[in-house]
Amino acid sequence: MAAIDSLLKAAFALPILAIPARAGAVEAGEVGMSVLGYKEQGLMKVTEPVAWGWMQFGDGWEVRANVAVDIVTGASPELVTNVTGKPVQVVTGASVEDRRTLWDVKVAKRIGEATIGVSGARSDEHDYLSKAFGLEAKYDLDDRNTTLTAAYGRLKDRVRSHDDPTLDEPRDTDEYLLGIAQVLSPVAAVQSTLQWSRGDGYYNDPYKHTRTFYPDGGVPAFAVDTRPSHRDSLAWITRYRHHFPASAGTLQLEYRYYRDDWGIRAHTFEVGWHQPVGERWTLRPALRYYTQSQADFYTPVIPQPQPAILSSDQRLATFGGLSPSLRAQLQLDDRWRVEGTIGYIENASRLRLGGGGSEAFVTLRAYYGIVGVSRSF
Amino acid sequence: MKRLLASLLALALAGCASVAPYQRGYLARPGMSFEESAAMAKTMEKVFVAKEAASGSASVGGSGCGCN
Amino acid sequence: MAIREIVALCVCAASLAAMPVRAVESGETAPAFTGARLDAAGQPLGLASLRGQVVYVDFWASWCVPCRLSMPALDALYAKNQSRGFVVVGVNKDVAAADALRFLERVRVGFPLVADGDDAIAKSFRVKAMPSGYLIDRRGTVRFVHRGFTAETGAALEKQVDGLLKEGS
Repeated sequence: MAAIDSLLKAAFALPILAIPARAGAVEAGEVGMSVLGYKEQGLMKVTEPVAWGWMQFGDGWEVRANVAVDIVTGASPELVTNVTGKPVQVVTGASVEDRRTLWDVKVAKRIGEATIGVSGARSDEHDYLSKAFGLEAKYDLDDRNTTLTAAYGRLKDRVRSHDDPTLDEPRDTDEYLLGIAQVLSPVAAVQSTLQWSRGDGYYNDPYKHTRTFYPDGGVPAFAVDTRPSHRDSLAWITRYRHHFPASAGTLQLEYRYYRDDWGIRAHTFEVGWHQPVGERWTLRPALRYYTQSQADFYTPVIPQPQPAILSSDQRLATFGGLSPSLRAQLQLDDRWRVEGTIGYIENASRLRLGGGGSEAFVTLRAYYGIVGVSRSF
Repeated sequence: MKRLLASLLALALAGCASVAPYQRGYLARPGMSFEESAAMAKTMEKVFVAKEAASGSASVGGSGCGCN
Repeated sequence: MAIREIVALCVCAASLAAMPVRAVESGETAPAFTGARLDAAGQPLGLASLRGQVVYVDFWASWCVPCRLSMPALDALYAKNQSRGFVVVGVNKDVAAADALRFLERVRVGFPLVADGDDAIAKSFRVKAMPSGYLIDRRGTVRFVHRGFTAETGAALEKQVDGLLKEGS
């Protein structure tokens, strides 16, 4: 329960949630707490309590805040070696417990048809620190049938390592966003967002390396994870919502296209069905499918001559993933709500769209569950 | 790139049959919002970002992941 | 391909730029309407039957956030001035009566409520925002229009109602 303690301490350090609303002003809001449990087969386990809240008050003000503590235990594969003939992942080193504290806050004000927002975020752990701020402007047109969004974000990260105390490298990223949300009919709406980012700095994973043995014998090659010091990426996310009054169900579709200058191309599809059941229950089954093609410098074996830039991290490989999930919500009364989600994730070489998945990819199987309670006011 | 933006805009403006402010009943239903419980969406995003190379959602300015 | 998209863009941009339909504004005669009662079974309520009183026609819905402020405020105003000939008519814009009734369990009001499921009343007033309120004098002329609702709206409305009640028939 030390985790809950840390979480509460972090939450009360956010004075912004204590802003009193002006007397007589409209107050709408919600606060909640939830816990995520994530377990990989044979590898790591994550427990993450989260506290969150949002509030509308005064003359068009809105504040949102989230606080989370991430507790990671277990092991991560660190070495890819082909000593057995084929490249395999090896977990070296003892299993560790790593703790990360995250918070983010956003303040927005509505002025006529425009909304201006400012956000700040911070992620803190022993070997990684990330500070971010964002600016967002939204504008409504056509009786709020159309909403345009433009946003900018800047991240300043510092990467360190448990294994190497001398490592302390920066990584800075600029993010840009343009989006449009459009009401299509009394029962349908679409949102499409373009997001691109440019980053410079340290991208290597300080814990990963590769060892390759060659058939002719001789000295095996060894390489630490080395990635480019720049990354340009583009993501295009489109969401569609369609309500069916007859059943009171809503179809939720999402598609994301991703590409970057490391050579990675990825597609993400998610389909969900939001269905109220009776007066108090809501069920939401969903299925997410993911497919990606590898980074140019991904290789599970070190080629000769040895390139300067290479990584055997299978998160940069060619693979696909399938994740079904089910969320259930129960409205206890007009203020309190409880909810639970369970899901399964399987990332595998054979799930890649069109085949051609990386041979060295080790199938990832993970389960997760979230339970939460919230109160609206 | 230009064609991408043109289709995006056309896709959005194609719904030019304006829905009056008083006809928003269905659009206000819980399942119809684009951002479901921001905290949960962020949590789930982190779960996937830690295992995949792609990233990106409908907002920017969130802190990074120490997971490359 | 690109040409079709550009044409669609131009057509839609033109329709967006077109003059918006003029909403009912002060000085005009309030559109007549009759609506089925939401709060009580029985005869439908017609605006004509309220001639001689000061009437505030308020368009509200369970999903309209400022309505959580406007409904209690209007209920207080109604209770205070009912005996002087003031009445509020709440026109509900929910698609399902169940949503409205659930809202009313939390926010109780004493003034009459009518349902407008087919949008006939909202269309006749050419409602542009939610909530929208139309203050009508004893002769049936719209005198003030309120779009949205804040604490300031409530204060201004109270003064306007007072003024119209003093006007007499």
